[in-house]
Amino acid sequence: MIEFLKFLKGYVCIRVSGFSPERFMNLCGNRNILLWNIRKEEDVYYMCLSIAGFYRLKPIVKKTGTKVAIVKRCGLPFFMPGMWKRKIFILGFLLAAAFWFQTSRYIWAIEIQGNFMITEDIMMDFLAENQVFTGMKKGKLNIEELEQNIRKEFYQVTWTSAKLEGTKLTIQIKENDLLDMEEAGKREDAMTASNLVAEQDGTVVSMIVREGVPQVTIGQEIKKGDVLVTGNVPVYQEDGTIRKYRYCNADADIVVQHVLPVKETLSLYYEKKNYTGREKKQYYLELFGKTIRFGKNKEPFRSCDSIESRNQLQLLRDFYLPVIYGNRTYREYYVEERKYTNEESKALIQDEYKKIVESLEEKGVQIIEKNVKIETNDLKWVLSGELTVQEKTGKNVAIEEQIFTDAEQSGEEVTEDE
Amino acid sequence: MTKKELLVNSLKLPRDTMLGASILTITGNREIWLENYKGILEYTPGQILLQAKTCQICIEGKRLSIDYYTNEDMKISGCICGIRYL
Repeated sequence: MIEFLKFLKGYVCIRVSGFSPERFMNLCGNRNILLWNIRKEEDVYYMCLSIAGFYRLKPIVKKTGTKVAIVKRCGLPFFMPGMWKRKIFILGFLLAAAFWFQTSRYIWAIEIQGNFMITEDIMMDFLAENQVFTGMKKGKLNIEELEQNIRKEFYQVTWTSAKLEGTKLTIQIKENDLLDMEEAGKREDAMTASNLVAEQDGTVVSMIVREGVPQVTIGQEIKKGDVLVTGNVPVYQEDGTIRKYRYCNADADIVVQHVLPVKETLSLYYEKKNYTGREKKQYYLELFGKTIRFGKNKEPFRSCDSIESRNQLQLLRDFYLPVIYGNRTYREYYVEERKYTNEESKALIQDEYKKIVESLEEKGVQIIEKNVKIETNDLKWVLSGELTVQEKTGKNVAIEEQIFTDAEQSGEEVTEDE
Repeated sequence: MTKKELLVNSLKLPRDTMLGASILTITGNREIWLENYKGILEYTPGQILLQAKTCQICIEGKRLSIDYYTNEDMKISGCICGIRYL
């Protein structure tokens, strides 16, 4: 620390020779001039003292009759004049500092974490609508308002946190995984009364009714849209007439059996991309949101794929700069028409069939009977047939509007009866 | 014991300031810190002769150098062989 202060204020190393250097040192001491690194080599003394001290040496030198010569100048005051000569260097240094300072006042990167259902594009569009974009001033960003807006706009977001680190804005969100189930639950809760309505044609195989009055029996054929279980539960009077209706949400497990047609075709001919191995790279640079492309701004081949890589310049861990560089690689290919061999096509079509069956099983559909055949002609393979399946059906449909009309009617009936 | 010494002793005053005694702080045989002296009489790499208020102090050694020197205190470093009061 002391060394640094000495460097900052500057000091000189002097050579003292003559009749009595000891007296010279004593006088320096008396006048409060600090001397350091005093050493003797043969007949001369070397020592260091501050610049201010050096200017006060003159009377002492006169008095003692010694000779003083500067050996070395050290420190910033001697260094700076040399620096002033290098104007361009200083200018560059100042400009770099100004650039650093200025760019650090903007946001140059936005990262979104924890999003599964909301894609990054949607989020970015939303941010742009809210005047949050790369290249905006940090001062204009209101983090709390942004967090609130995100929660308001996206109902599936249960928690958000936005933080600004360096020039990077990180938005962390947490989405509600159980949203669909909750939504369904809410919908049911919102309805005061509902019917269970068939979602497809078929024959009722089994029925477990928990709430409501069943309108169908096992073995009955039903059509899509038929009411399976009604939420109007009649309350009878002693004489067997209906006194009123009680309304509830119909709830039942109803399994219907129906025939599901399956059809899958596979063309024998297909197009295959053959890469020629010719590649071309196009470099680009993005400065402050503007793109500069090097080379021709066209696709270099008639048919090609392109792969893009993108990098953002970064000074420190979180100090992103508004400079993005990258390249786009074009790979040329030509299309060749090819024909599947018998084995290939058979395997492919069986794969397709397997996928259909698996997707059905995933949905909880039980396959009772399979009746599928594979035919072939010169152009294509056709898989066709029918699957007899059993699956759960029933969708709650509100009967809110009926409530009042029915209630009024029943009310009238009741008064008439009385 | 002089009258002054008696007075200082009985009043428990600091001896260095009242009697003008020098204070030497020695670390091993490499460094000496000195306070309360009048000036340097002689300085060579082999010996440093100092004028204190009541006597002279001679520090003998090899490659002696003065790290800093002010009116109040100084630091000497080098290989110290002996200290004599003259």
